[in-house]
Amino acid sequence: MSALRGLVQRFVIFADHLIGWILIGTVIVNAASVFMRYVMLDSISWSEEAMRYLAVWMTFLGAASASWFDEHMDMNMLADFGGARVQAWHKTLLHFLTAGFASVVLWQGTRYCMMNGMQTSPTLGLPMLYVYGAIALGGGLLLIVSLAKIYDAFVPPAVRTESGEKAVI
Amino acid sequence: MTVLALVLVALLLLGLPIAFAFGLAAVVALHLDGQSQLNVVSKMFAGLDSFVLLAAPFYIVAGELMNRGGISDRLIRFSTLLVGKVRGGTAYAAVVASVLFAGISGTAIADMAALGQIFINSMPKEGYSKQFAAALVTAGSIIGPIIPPSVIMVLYASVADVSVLKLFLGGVVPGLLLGAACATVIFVKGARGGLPRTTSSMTVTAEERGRTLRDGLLVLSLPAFIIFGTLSGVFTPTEAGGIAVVYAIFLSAVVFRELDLKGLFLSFRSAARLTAALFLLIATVEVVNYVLILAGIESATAQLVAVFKGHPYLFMLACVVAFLIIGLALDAGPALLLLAPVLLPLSRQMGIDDIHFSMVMIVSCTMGLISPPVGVCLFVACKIGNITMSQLWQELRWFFYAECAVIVLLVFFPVLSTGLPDFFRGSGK
Repeated sequence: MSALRGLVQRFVIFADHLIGWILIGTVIVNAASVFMRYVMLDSISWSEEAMRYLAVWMTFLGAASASWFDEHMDMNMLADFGGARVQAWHKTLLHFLTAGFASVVLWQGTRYCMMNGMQTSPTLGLPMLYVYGAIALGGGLLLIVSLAKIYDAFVPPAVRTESGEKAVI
Repeated sequence: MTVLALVLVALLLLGLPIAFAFGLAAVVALHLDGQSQLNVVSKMFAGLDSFVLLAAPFYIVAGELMNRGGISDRLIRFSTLLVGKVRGGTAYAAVVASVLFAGISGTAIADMAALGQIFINSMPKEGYSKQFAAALVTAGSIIGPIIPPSVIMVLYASVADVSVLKLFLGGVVPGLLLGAACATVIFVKGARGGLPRTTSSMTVTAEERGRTLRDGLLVLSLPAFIIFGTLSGVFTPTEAGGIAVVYAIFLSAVVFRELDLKGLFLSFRSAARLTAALFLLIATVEVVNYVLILAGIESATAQLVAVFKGHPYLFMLACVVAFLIIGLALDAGPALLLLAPVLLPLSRQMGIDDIHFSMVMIVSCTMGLISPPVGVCLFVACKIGNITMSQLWQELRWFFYAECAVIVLLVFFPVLSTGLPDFFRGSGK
């Protein structure tokens, strides 16, 4: 079981690196777009669309990654309520609910992909399968993370992963 | 609508992450209404498919890069150079640093984390109480999302269909007023003998003065660059954000030489995760709004308009009270994203200017970050200062009341929010 958990962790770390590269890619496309327009006097027609789709990938992959590192915003009212066992059950319930939402996203995302995946994007001419695919893939990854977190609630990992601040604006 | 509200409140109280609570509540409401669950993913995608939104990760990563690149120390030295020599100098420097840091960070938590460590730990050595130092930095942190660039304004603009640039311009005066409110509390406390009779110990020597001034101006050229580049039409707010990232890399890695490749990539990863968490919230709020529209939110709000007809200021004050109460339980971002699409159309029907109402709403909701019991900036301050929430609140309440007074000013004097956007529109920009 712990080997399986290790595999999930490797998946998540890979996704976490990937979203970092996606953000770098978005910055590069943006800079190239401004550079082309003002220096080369020739706009890149597909830049805006590419950046929007990169953001979609970053969101759905990053949702699972942020869930792994406990960085989603919450109201945090019951965090210290009860003893260790009560907290473990409380966490399990929360991850179970997250898994429920992730299942809907995975299931409906897959249906959405199958129904609209053959459409092509307006300027890139990209099959939308490559864009909508992020929804199903992100939902699937979030589901796996939630299941691993349920396991963690009762068998805490020996080494803490890098945990950041809650996402707050 | 009742089912949605009940499920949402139950899930939030249970502690489910807010984005998932929004999503799951919408799933349940759609299911009970007999609607297709495909709407969940199609609306989530529609919520994310926006060019305006892209400015948010750019400003987040620019702030992250600047912070890792030694920006906090430089801004604090710059603030001390400006006001460190007066009595209570370090306290005033903390306020000035909050205002200046707001010009590069765009989030309250970044402001709190960067300045808190330095001021909360150093001010007690000069004779200030730890509670006062923590309260001061906490109160100043909410200036972060008000003075441009602001991540919360980018998200707000995307759901409320308001110009990002006008929001940025509209935030300048309210942000400065919040800073002035904090300075007033310090002044009154000093006049009543509640502050140590020392000037700042973080003084800048004569040799350091030139370098401190140069560094400060280099950092502060970033917000100026964003505002004036966008105003002049050279680039959009989103493109300005991307350029700000390039500038932040240049400043941190080349000029200050405090950021290596590893730090650079960590900044991008961290900013991407934060972005994903925020964007998922935007996506699920879109589904909730769809459910609200299906449930007839428009007719319900029309009844509300009838109640406040002819009394726009009363409506705004009622909204402020509601935002402050909601802020006791919910952070600024989710509260704004949920309420903006519902309330902004109402304010339009009452003839209230979009930027005026938006600014009142943004500042009021942002107060939630420093309102007990769940204001996240309070947790950070308590953790850094190793003090309890009630100890912090003893000092913070005066700042809180002063900032509430600023909100009242914003309600009754629309020019404070709309003056700058109108000025630049009037000058043809």
